Amino acid sequence: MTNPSDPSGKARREFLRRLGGAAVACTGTLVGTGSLGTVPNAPKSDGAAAGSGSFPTKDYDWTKHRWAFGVDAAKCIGCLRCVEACKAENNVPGDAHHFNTWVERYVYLEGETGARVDSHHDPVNIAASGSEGEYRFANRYKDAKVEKAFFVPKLCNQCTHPACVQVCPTGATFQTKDGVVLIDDKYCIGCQYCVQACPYGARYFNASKGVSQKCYWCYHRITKGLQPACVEACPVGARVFGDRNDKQSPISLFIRNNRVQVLRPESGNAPNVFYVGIDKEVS
Amino acid sequence: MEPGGFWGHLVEIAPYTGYVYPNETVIPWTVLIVVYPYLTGLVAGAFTVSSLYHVFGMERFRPVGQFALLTALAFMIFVPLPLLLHLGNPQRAFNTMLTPHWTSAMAVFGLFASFYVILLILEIWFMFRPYIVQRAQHSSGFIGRLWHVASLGSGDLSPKAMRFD
Repeated sequence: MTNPSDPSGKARREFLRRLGGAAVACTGTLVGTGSLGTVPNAPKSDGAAAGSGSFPTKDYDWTKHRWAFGVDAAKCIGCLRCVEACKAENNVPGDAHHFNTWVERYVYLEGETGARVDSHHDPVNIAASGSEGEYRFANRYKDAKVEKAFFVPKLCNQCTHPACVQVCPTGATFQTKDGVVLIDDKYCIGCQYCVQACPYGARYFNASKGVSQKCYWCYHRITKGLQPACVEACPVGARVFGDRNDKQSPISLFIRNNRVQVLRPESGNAPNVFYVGIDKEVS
Repeated sequence: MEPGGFWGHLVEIAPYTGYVYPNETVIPWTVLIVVYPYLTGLVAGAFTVSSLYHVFGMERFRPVGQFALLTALAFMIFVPLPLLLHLGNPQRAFNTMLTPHWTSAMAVFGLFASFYVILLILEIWFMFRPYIVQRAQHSSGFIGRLWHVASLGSGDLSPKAMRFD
């Protein structure tokens, strides 16, 4: 073990001590200059550097929250107020091919085994609304014998293991400590790899900005204590939002009092949007 | 309300053939992304042909050996062009090299592709070294100085050095 020329091992101890000092210095530098995506689990030291007990901003500490979203499909009436509210709130391109959130209609006709699925971007429904900027579901099944039908609102699932974050070549999209997946549109190169990767079709490419865009649960609103725009606009309370760290929040009660499920659990993404009242066919 | 014509009929059968997410009605990777594997195919083919002569010693490919290697480099330099044109913000493309995200195949392959360009340049330099040295020794003036720079100060053309190349 010991060095024959240094029986006491003093030189080695000295070397290790210096190495340790250097390591501490390096870690300190990293914490001080850490970018949003790479900050280690040390919010206190970060907060101290920012001059308050809160990170990333003075008024909002993202380690204190764990946001989640609930959808009660049994309540949804397909009015699409949520879609239009979202488009107005988040500068979503005003056509029928770009949505942060959208609603699907599942219809089972008598004698058929599978569901017929359409959404408000379907040309028939666009023809019914008269414009690509307004949305409604056409009454296309009025002459058919409908056995069962329901609406399913969809949005970004803010997955716990997001495929979009994994494939981003620059790290422009990242997961916050409170569970929301954000895009840094000053750093995104617009390669659209994430659009390909998302199994839920939640992302799209905003050609006018040259970057990817998606639902982020109105992060600019929830960090100020407000509800997302779609939740606010929903007239029937089909959309539920809240903090899972708060046991009495609407979402905690929603998950506790219902049998909930997520979309495509087999994808391994571990979504954070919880559904009530949907069939196995919904994906 | 049903739209008529060919597209109208297509819409009528759409519920029977499947549903597409609204955002996925836009195809994100289009013609420019298809051009890219076409170009890399040319690079790989040319590189294989040159290797058949330079590495595997097949004399049949001697006439095209050098030309194929130059072709590979010429195309490889332009391979990123369709990808750059496809990006929403091509001016930020170097972010993938400067701050690579290691779980992303795209970022890692960018580094791998630049390694390949360096490999091609090195191989071409070794291949043309006798020619460069010869030009450096026999031309004068500005052009001669350029050839001297290109030879990187190595004028050794002995059989031993050539074997090393």
